Amino acid sequence: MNKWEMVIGLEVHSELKTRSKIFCGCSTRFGSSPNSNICPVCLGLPGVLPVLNQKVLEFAIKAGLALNCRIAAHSKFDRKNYYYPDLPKNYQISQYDLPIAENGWLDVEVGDGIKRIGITRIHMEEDAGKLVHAGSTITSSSHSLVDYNRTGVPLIEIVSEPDLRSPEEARAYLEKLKAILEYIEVSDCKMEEGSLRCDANISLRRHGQTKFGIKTEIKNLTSFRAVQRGLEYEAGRQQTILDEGGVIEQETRSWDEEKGVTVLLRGKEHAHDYRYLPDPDLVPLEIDRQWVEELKKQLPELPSARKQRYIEQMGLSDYDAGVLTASRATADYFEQVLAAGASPKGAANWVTVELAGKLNQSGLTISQSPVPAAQLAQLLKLIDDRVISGKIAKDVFARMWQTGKEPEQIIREEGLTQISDDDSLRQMVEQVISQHPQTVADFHAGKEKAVGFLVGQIMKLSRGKANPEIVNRMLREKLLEG
Amino acid sequence: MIDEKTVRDVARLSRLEVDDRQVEVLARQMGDIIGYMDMLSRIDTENVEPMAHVVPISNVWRPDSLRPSMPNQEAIRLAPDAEGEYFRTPKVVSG
Repeated sequence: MNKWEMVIGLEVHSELKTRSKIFCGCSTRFGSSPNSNICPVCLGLPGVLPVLNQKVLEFAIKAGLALNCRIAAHSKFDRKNYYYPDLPKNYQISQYDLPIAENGWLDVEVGDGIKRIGITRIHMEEDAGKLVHAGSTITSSSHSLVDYNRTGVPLIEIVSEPDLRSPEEARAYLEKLKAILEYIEVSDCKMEEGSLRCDANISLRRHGQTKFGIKTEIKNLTSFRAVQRGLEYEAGRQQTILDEGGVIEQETRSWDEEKGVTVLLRGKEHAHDYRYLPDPDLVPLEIDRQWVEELKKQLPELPSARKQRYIEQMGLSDYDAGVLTASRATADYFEQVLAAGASPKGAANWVTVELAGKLNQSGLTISQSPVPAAQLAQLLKLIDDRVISGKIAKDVFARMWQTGKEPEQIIREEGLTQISDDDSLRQMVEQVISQHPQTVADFHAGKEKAVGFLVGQIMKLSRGKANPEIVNRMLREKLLEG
Repeated sequence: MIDEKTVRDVARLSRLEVDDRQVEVLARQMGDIIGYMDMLSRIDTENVEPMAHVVPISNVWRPDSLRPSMPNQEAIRLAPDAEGEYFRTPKVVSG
């Protein structure tokens, strides 16, 4: 890239989690049988009248506030005209020149610090249906089947300024955006179910140049990984063309995840001319300032603020605080563990390492964790009270995960209680000392490492149950006596 | 003035077929209509607020509650072509 600078902007579509659609009372439920959540309004039958779902407006305003936007005083809906079978009316109800929110920003953590990414606008619109292509691929099918369940599901489109300078920054921006939308509970943001979708615009220019190069748009970026890989590929493709003295065509390309390439979807000559016009079926919106203020007060603590609190008030590391606050569900779980009496550092460690590892392995989200927060807190308390060692705790945790049993019960049933009783420990210390005269001699010759070896032997003898601190103290006393 | 190229562009966007003879007629007719509408630009709108709707009402909305949807087969029956629970359309490649 050295000679070239990447200029990237993202358009993110996020489905709002309302119960009913944006302009009718059909359900927004994902995974219903085909064409079962449809009615004359979302099918665009003649003579119907769409009526705005107030919750959609509320969620869009909340998103605007959380992304530091100016909320419009006057807003309206427009028709965006294009022909595609996933759109039964041949136009999509969207917003054109008076979007609900504009001029916001989002702080994103990138390599060496924080970078402020501009948000151009947020607008409300209806989602389109889904095409199911008969035949093996999109090009070989003879016809398409259409499911209109998704038609009319509310969306917000969030358009960033071309402020992103690398695929990593684009990914970090998208992850942060997702976290915020989840925190304010306006969207589920499930990329795998299509409730969070991303298109990317990218162009290259020489470093130092202020004018933008010609951009291409990449569609079909269906995961964070796809966003990053798609942009990396497209930057490379553009660079090759430019290095050879060629010219970039302004076009729309589609990311092919399997082949790892972008392919031409449509060129400039087939670019859409959407001919926006105000939708006469929907009346204008006059946004009440007081309502906006109320919604602002309802916003929860956002990820950056929460992270800052974890660092400043709980003394967590920047890294741990970042991992814990990346999703609201994780942060909430962590705080439940604290509320049940655990210390922040211990809880942070167990949530980000042991629990996260198990969740990853089994492909579960934290809200599906078989170990509830209160039980994890019990386990941490048992470590603090020295009933079990940290090492044994990992085994107990694995059993809790498998069986759903409480930690005390597992410890009792499997006899895992830490041995802190002096007599039994003293016996083990004496046994190990008598079995390893050479090591003891090494210790007296000044080899500090010998102690570690002997402690290890005692732990082995106790099958991990000896309290390592007491063993250490006792062993040193014994060695110095002898 | 509306030229023939504009007529062809608009026809393509509207998925309408026009032959060469029609293009000439349509260009003239559409030019007349646009010319007529152009009278509006002679009106002084200096102190008039822009408006997006002719009826002076705003903020019409409904609560987020469910209403029954149509039975699948009732909707499917309205379609020119269908397959099972799906509507069926000719092959489409690009959005």
